[in-house]
Amino acid sequence: MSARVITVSSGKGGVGKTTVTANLATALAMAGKKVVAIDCDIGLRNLDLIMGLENRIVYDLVDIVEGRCRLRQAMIRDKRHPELHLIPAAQTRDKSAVTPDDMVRVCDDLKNRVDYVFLDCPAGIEGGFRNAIEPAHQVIVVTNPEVSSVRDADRIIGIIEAKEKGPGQLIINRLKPDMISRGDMFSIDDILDILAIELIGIIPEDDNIVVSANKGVPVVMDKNESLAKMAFRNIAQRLDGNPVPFQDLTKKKNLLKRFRAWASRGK
Amino acid sequence: MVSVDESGGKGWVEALVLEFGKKKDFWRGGEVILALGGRVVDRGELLRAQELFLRFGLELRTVLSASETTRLAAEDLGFATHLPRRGYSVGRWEVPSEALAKSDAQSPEPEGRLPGRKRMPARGASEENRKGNDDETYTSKPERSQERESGFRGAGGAFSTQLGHAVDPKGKRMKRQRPPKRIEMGGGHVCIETLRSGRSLRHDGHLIVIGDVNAGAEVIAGGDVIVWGKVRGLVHAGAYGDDSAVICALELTPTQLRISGKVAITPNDKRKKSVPEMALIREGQIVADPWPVRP
Ligand SMILES: Nc1ncnc2c1ncn2[C@@H]1O[C@H](COP(=O)(O)OP(=O)(O)OP(=O)(O)O)[C@@H](O)[C@H]1O
Ligand SMILES: [Mg+2]
Repeated sequence: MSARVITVSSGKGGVGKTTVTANLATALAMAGKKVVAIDCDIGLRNLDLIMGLENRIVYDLVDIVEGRCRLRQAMIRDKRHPELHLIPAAQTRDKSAVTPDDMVRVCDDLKNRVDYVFLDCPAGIEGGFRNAIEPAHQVIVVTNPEVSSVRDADRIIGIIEAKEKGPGQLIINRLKPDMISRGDMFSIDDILDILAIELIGIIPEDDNIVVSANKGVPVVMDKNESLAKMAFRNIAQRLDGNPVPFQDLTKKKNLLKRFRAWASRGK
Repeated sequence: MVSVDESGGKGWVEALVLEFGKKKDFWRGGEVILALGGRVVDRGELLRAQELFLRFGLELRTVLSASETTRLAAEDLGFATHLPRRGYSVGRWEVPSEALAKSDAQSPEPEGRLPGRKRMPARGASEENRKGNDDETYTSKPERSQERESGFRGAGGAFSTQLGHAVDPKGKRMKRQRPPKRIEMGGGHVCIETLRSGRSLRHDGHLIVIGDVNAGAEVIAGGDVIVWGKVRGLVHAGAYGDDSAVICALELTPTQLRISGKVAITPNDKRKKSVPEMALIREGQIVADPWPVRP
């Protein structure tokens, strides 16, 4: 077993990194994969909340790095999915407590234990972001269809290219089909034209995401089907190299067409 | 570089005289590459041409020809018959070194303000890059400003004029009627990469970017800037104060354009259209023309 390290980044804050991390990690665990999600946002931890594991934290990432606990002890097992673990960030420290080398070491230790390691980046391009990029095999860039988050995503892509971490793969989050059809929002084509990297998923604006975040139950665990749940599940499958790429493309297109049809119906 | 058409009779030297007479101050100082295509030219004609160029303060050094007879005659007279390895129109074109690309990740802030008229660009351009220019591409850097004024850069450059149809060294016909502003590529730099937000690319000479210049990125050159892609960010050409510098791009919707000391922004009502354009200073203002320029 050799874990794939996937870093979820965005540059701009609040575009949905933590939401994406929680849902992709959960979706892959639901598909039978062994997954660890690490919150790299030291001092502003969130992932534990979104995954509903806040009250189970004993040790955190800084404890591992500073040798106060073994790796295993800081891995909180999600009881709903035996193969899903969280390593939380420390809340009372700042990002200087961890170095990029520390992150590489932690990911190395996880290498033989799991299939996927997800790293949830903090906003910005400083220390915490650099920590999370260092061990990455693959970087997901999350953006919203809006000018400043696209600009920041462009900056992030430039940095990960300079670090030879590949061009990255794009997730467009909080898409509002009706706004695009009115021309009030960047369209998917506009974004891809500027960022020019591979798109692996589009997640619509969906109130279920906020509701589920408040409950600490990622939306992919919802009993009811929703567009957001479907979108996350599809991305998880694409990350897992499954289904075949061509099917991916048509799926994306169908989803898009559905959005457009959906939007024009409202008029 | 002077290209001479194959058609037309023996009078080509006289025609050159006429052509040169029109802009005699423009050509002063420098050396000439004469491209004759397939035309058969004898020693006498070459000597007349040499004399002619001397009259304009130009030294005929190189004769390019597809004709064996012409080449032999030229060699006999001591002219070069092929282009030197570098410093001329086929000068050394560097592909960006890691050094130049480095301005990114390590230093998120752009280095200082943009260079103003006749000022050197900020120290941001990497040392390696500068060195590269000094020892390879710029043969006459100290006289830079004088050369600018005469519109011709002497040893490091070459120029072109047409008599009727121009013929390039390979003998292909070029339809261009009006002479290009200048064809001199002595100090150029090619960057094959999309410049994303936060990147800053600087070069003393001309810059060619093969890729987009995204919003939040800046490209600053002492000479022209050509972008084989879309310009959404900031481009400054002629940063030392060269009003004749141009900016060409496949799509020109920049945040801001600067040529020499002039600044322009994309008009709000500019439709998103993928038409290649060339920006230049005309009557004291930055304007954009369709590019390439059609006769
Ligand atoms: N597709 C969506 N539809 C509706 N709300 C969303 C969507 N995606 C994210 N949100 C909401 O946006 C907010 C920010 O999301 P999240 O915390 O995942 O962003 P982040 O990028 O991790 O932020 P930070 O930079 O602070 O770490 C949350 O309240 C979340 O519920
Ligand atoms: Mg977050």
